[in-house]
Amino acid sequence: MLDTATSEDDTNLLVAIVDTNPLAWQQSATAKIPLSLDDAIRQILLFFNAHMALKHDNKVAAIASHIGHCKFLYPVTDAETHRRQANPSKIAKDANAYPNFKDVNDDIIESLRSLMADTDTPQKNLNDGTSMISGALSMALCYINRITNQDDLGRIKPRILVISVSPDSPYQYISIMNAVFSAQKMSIPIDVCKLYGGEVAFLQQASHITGGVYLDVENPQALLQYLLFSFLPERYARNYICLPNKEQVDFRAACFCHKRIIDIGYVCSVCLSIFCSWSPVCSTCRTKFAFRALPPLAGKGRPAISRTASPAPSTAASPGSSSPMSTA
Amino acid sequence: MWEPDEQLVLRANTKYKKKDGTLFATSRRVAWQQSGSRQLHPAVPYGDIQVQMQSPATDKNIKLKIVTNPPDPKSFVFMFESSRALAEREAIKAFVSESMARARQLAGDKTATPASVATLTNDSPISSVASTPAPSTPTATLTPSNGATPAALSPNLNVSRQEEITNRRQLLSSNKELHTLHSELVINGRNVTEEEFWESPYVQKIRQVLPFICISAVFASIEQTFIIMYIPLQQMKKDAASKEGQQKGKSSKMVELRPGQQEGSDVKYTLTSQIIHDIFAQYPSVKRAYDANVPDKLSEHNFWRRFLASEFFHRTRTGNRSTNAVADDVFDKCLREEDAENLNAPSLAEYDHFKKTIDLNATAEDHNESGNAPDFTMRPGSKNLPLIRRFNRHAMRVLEVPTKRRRDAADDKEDDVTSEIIISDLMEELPPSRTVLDIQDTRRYFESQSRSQDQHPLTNGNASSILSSFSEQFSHFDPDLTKQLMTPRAAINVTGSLTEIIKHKNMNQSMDPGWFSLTCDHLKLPAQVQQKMIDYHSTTNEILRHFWSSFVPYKAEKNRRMVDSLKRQKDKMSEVLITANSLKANLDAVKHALSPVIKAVDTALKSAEKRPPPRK
Repeated sequence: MLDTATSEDDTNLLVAIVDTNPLAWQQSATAKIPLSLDDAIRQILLFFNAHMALKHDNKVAAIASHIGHCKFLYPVTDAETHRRQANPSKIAKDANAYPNFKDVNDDIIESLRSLMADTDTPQKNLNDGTSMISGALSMALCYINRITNQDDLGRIKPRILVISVSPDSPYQYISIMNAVFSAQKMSIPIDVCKLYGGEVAFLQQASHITGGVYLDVENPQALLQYLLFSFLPERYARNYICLPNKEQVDFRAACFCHKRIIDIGYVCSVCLSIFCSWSPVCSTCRTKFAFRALPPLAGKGRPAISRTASPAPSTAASPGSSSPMSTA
Repeated sequence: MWEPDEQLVLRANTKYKKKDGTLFATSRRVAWQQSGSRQLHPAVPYGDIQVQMQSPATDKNIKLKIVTNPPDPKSFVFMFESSRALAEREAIKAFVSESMARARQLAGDKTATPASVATLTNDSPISSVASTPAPSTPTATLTPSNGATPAALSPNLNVSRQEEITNRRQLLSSNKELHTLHSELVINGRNVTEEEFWESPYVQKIRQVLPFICISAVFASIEQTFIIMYIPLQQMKKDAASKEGQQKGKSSKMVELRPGQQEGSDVKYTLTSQIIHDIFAQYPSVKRAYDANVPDKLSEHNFWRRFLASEFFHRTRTGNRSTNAVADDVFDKCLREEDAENLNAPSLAEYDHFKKTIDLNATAEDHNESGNAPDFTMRPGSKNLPLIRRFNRHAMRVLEVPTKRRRDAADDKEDDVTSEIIISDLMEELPPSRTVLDIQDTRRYFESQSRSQDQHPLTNGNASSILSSFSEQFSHFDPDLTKQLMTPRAAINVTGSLTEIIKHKNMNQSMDPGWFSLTCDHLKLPAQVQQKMIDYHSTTNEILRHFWSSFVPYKAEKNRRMVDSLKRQKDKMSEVLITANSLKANLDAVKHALSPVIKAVDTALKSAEKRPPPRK
C-alpha cells in the first residue's frame, strides 16, 4: 500500500488513457450526437493544459489505447525526441502559446500522427476490433510505479483517467481485472469517462474498486465541460469536493446461454459459468453433472418415477452476507 | 464452609501438615478442618480423588494419603492421632473408596446419555480412577467372552460411540451455526432426529471444515481456555489420521485392574474379554499358565480367581510384595518366569529389527569426553533394571505391529540403511493430480461480464478502409486550440445535469448519516434482525435439504415430517417480520432478502402435493 495521505503540496500526476480506436471513433462520429476523434483530442488537450495550469509541478502522461496495441503519446522516448528534433514537424508555431503547454500538445499531436500512420499493426491484431485497454492500464501502472519510485519525497500523487469509446473486450477481462487490483493495491484511483459505446462493466467495476469516478457522458460534444467539472480536481481536493459519481454499480452477471442479466441462476460448480436454466452438461467446461434437475413444476401428470431431486435449487446467498449477485 | 445438602458421615482427629484438626468424610468430599478454624482446607470431592494410600499396618504412624486427579495432582497426608487410630483410618478409607467408585460410576453415566444439550463440562468424563490397594478377599466376576452385560460386550463399539457423542458435544459448543441449527431442528422444533441431523451432508461438511476454523479462533483470542484449544487439536489429529488412512495402533496403556464396587471387605473385579486379552498380551507367562491349566486342571473362573489373589497379580499391580498373599503354584511359577525374563538381558535373537543408524556404544565415549558422567542405567546389578526391562518390553509390544507393517512395505528395498534414513515426512510431496479446467471458449466465458457486446459490434464496417481514412486524416492533424470548442448552451446544460447528479447524491447522503461508510448502508438491517434472518434462513435451508433427501428415494414418514416442518417454518416467517417491525427495520428489505428461501419452500411444498398418493 502506498501512502494515501494527500496534501495541498502534492504533485499530481495525471495518466490519461485515451481510446484512439478508429473503428469506435468512426461510429461515434456518425452517432446521434456526433463527436469525432480530432474534436475530442482538442478538448482533451485543453483539459491537459488546465491540469498543468492548476499547479506548477503537475505532470501529465498520455497513453493511446489503440486497436490491438497501445502506445505512449506523451512523454515520448529519448530516441523519439531526437528523431523529432532532427525532422521538425509542420506544426504551426505560435508565439503566444505557453511553452510548457505547447511542448506537451505538440508531442501528443506528433505521436498521434505516427500512431495513425501505422495501419498494419491494428489490422494484424484486429480480433473483435476492441481497444487494448488492459495493455494501456498496465503501461500506466508501470509508468506510475517508475515515477513514484524516483520521487524520494513521496509527493507525487498519481491517478489514472480512462477516456473510453469502445465496448468491453471479453478477451481482456482477466488482464483488466489484474491491472485494476494492482491499482487498488497501489491506491491509484481509476477515473472513467465513457464517451460512447454504452455501459462498460469492466471499467465501471474498475473505478468502483479503486475509488475513482465513473461518468457516462450524455452530450459528447461538451466533453471538455465534463472533464473540467468531474476529473480536474486532484486527489487532495477530492476529500472536500462532491463529484458526480455513479452511485451504484451493477455487479450482476449475464447468463452464458442467452446473455440475459439474471438475479438467480444456476452456477457450474467447476468453472463458475452462469446459466439461467439447468442443463446436464456445462456448455463452457463440458462438465457432466451427476444429479438431475427437478422437472418443472408446471409439468402435468408426470409419473412419479421420472422425478429426481437436485440439491436445493436456489443459489440464494444468505441474507446477511454481501453477495456479488445481489443488487441494491 | 459446608455445602448446603452435605451430610457428615465420618470424622477423625488427624494431623495435617503438623497441625491438629479434624478429618471429615461427608456425602460429597473429604475435608479437613484445623482446630479453631472454620475453614475446610483441604477439601477434595470424591470425583477428584485419583488414589488413596496408607502406611503399612505395622508402621507406628498411621497415615492416609489422598492423591487428586491430573492435570493438577496434589497429595494430602493425614496422620491419625486418636487411640482408635487404626480403626478410624480403615473406616474412612473404606468409605472414601466406596464413594470414589460411586463418583466414577456417576461420571460414566453422564457420558453415556446422549448429548442433547450442548454444554462443555470441564471435568473429563472418562476419569481413570485407581482405588485403594488393600483388597482382602477379592471376588472375581468373570464375564465370559460371549458377553453378559451389554457394556462389556463390545467395548470398542461403546468407546467409539462415546467418543462420537463427546465430539458432537464439542462441535456444538464450538460452532455457533451448528448450535443454532441443532437447537432449532432437534431440540425446539423436533423436526429432525438426532441421527438425521448428524447424517445430513451439510452438517458433515461443516464438521469437516470446522477444526481449522476453531484453531484460528483460538489464535485470535489468547484468553481462550485450555480446553477449547485442546478439543479442536484432538479432532484435527483424528481427522488427519483418518484422512491418511492410518490405523489406530495398540494402546500404550499398561493393564490396570481396578476393583469395582466394594461390598464389605470383598473387592469385586470385572474382567471383560478385552481386559483378559490385554493381560495375556502384557504377561505372556500368564498366557502360558492359562494354556497349560485351563480347562483341564482349573476352571476358567477358578483360574482368574486365583490370578487375582496371587502374589503375581499384587506385585505387578502395586510393585510391592503383598504380605497376605497365599502361595500359589501356578502363579508363583509365572512370577518366577517374569522375574527371570526381566533380570536377564533379552537375547539379541528376540529383536527382529535393528536400527542400523543408531550406535548405542558410541554414546558411552561421548559422555566421558564431554565431562558427563557415564550412563549406568542399563548396567547389570542396577536395582531398577527389572523394572526398566519390563517397561521396555511393554514398549516393544506396543510398537510391534506398526514396525512389522513398515518392514513389509520396505521389503523390496535392498539397502536397509537407506530405507531407515528416509523420513517420509520430509519427502517432497507429490502435487495432487488435478483436473485441468477446460474452458471451450474463454471469450464466451467473460462475455457475460460485459454488457454491450452485441449492441456495438465494431468490426461491422470495413476496418481497413476506416484505418486508412484515419491515417489520411491525421497525417496533417494540427488542432487549433484557440477555436471555440463547444456552444455555451451545451456547456450550461452539462453543468446543470452534473449538478443534478450531485444533488441527488447529496439527498441520499442527508437521508442517512451513515452514508459515508457504505453507499448502500441505508439498506442495512439492525444486527439483531440480521441474526434472526440468518438463523431462519439456515434452519429453513437445512429442513429443505432433509426434505429433498427424503423425497427421492421416497421415505414417506420422514418426508411427511419435513412437509409439516416446512409449513411451520413458513408460519415462522411472521415471527421474523414481527421482530423486524419492532426494531423498525425495513420490512421490504427483510421480505426481499428472504424471498428466495420462501420460494424454495413453496417449490418443495408444491412438489410434495403433486406426489401421487402411495399405491396400495
